[in-house]
Amino acid sequence: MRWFARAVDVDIGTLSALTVECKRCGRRVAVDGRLPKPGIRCPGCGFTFRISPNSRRASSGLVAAPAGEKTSAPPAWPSRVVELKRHPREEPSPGPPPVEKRPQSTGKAASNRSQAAWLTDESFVVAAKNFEEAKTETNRHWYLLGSELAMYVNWQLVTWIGIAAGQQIDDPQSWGLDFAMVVTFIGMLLPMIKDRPTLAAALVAGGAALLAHGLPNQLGLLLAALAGIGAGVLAERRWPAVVQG
Amino acid sequence: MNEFLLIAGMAVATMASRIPLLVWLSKRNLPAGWFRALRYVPPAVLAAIILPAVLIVDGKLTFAVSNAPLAAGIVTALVGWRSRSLLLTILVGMAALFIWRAIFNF
Repeated sequence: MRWFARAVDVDIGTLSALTVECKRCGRRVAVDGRLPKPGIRCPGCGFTFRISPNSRRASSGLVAAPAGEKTSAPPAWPSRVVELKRHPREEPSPGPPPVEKRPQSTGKAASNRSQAAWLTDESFVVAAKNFEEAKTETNRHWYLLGSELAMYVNWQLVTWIGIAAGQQIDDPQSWGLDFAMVVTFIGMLLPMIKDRPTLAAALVAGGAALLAHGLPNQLGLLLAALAGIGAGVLAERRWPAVVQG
Repeated sequence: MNEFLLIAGMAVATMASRIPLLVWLSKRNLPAGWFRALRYVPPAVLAAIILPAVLIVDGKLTFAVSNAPLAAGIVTALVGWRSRSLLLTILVGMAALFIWRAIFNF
């Protein structure tokens, strides 16, 4: 059981002057300065919440607003999402917490299945960017599906053109049109490098892929990806990661 | 007929490798540490595809000037970094490839 919160305009490093509103009992808990180690305890329902700055999950359980702001209206300025997690040791005695109703439970599994079928690298990047910038708040799976279908239809269309036009050209391979994929990937990779850990992940994965390119069955790609992920996680210990919400 | 069997087989393989995890994950939350690690999957995978594609020619690491993909890749990276526009990056990158190959004629 986990709660998520939207913290407004909060520098996670300092996290000053923040009020967390418990959606369950409506009470506001002020957090000043550093976060209390065991977590924030809601005086209303007795739960203890812990803020973990690295989560980028959507808000649903708790809403946080700057201290002093009395309105509960959603803020107009960009906000960061932090995760509030219920502390496991502070299990409350009075009954289980209310189960958060999934707003898009109907048809979600079905749409997940169809999403899986159409998922391409390009749609993933487009959707991930949209979610990261929090442009789409609800029914994100439909956004993903829309992106996937648009790309898929386009792909089919251009493939048909390629079948027709390719026969008019002597040696289509020699044109090097397959380099378009590499060019696209370069264009997608660059915006992803926004801090030192992501740079480390890309550099180490690229280097490992060069070393391991001779391995069969794309095994080199797999190993390189794992090396890159490891490098990113290790680099996070030294350089802070930029977390966008 | 064989082609259709091949396509159907690949469709089944694609679905089988993607659907279970996606459906399973939609019902639960991963630990925060996993999310942190997963953040590095896209840059790592893309870099692991790009670097061999531009640097390895006929199975060998090649930094030669005649390596058109390398030259075009550098131009693409510069344009992508400065412009932040994917479409412009793709167009300039492909143009750079064609121009470079026309110059070095191969």
